[in-house]
Amino acid sequence: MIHPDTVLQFISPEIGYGVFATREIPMGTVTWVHDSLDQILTPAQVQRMPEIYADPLTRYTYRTPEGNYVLLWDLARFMNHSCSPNCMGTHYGFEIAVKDIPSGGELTVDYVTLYMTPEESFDCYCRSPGCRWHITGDDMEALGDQWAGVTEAGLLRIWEVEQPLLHLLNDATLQRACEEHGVPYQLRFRKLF
Amino acid sequence: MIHPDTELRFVSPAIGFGVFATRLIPKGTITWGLCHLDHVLSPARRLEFPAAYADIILTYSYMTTRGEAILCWDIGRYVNHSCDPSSLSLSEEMEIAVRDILPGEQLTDDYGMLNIVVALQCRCGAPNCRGGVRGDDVRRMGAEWEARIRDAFAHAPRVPQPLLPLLRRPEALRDLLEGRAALPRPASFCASATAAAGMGSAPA
Repeated sequence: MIHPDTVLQFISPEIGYGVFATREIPMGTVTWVHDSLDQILTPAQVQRMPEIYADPLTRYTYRTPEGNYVLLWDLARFMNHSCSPNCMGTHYGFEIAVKDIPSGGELTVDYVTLYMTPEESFDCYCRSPGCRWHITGDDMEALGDQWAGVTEAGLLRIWEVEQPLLHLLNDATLQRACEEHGVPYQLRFRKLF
Repeated sequence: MIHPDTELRFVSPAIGFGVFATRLIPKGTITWGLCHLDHVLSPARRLEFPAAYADIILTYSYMTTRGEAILCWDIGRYVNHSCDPSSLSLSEEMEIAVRDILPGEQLTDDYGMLNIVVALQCRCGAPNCRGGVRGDDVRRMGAEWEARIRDAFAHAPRVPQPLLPLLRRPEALRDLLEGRAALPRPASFCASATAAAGMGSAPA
């Protein structure tokens, strides 16, 4: 489920729709959590589906490390790619804001973090500083460390900001995500002392 | 799944988004049909969701007489109501175009056929606007809906039906198209307001 302070907005015929903040969403906010309305389809299931589904399934899914397709059920499926994204995916079924997203700002993510295979690629029109123009699954090799650092910076703020989606994440998952990124999970309890 | 010759467009801040035809969709075409990707949420399943989901599910789904909430997986969830709609419910699992829908025209249906739980105000602007939509509209509108659906369905065997192979129960449409089954009467799948409220309410 996507953060509640978001709306769908049309951008241009080339890009289509995007997801925009209706209020400021500060860095460290969980912006999306995988939930049971997201449908998980195996590559075999996708192959058996009629041709008419091919386009939406390419557009509105992301891949898990196991190669399954996850069909996002809500506005999250309209989140666009940016080479300078303000949200980052984690391996734990949630995304986090890694910059302050102003009211009216578009929520974006680097699609290369969504487990593109090395063969997958697309042209990027984000034209942000550092735009890679042509995105391929291989980009992750060069970007992995950088994006891990950016994610860590976001996670460090997780207990400092309002979190409308945090109750959808289970504690163990969150703890594992913090540990992977070297963020002390105990910071959660800092306010108690 | 919604008919493939459609797209999402923003209508106005008050109405939000709507679904528009990108090519002619002839009268008699199935414009929406329940497919395998649509969510069928039983009352028990809905209770498993945190409160944050109740409003979303209520806004974007319609109810069956069995109390299931049908949440369309695609832009079908953005189809607006009109008191003079371009589609009507053929059954709980299909909508049918009751007139030619021209390119650029909005696809609408009649929420009075969707077992709505909470009555809605309507400002659709149609000359026959009822001013509101209620779960028991079938009592007043049933005969008119039935006549319009019957008239539209006469065209159904002669127009392309791109959704037929995608339906969860394609045989239900084939039986209708080939005359092996009679058209369901709206009263058989539009519950009265009290029945719908009892069975279809979303978790608080």
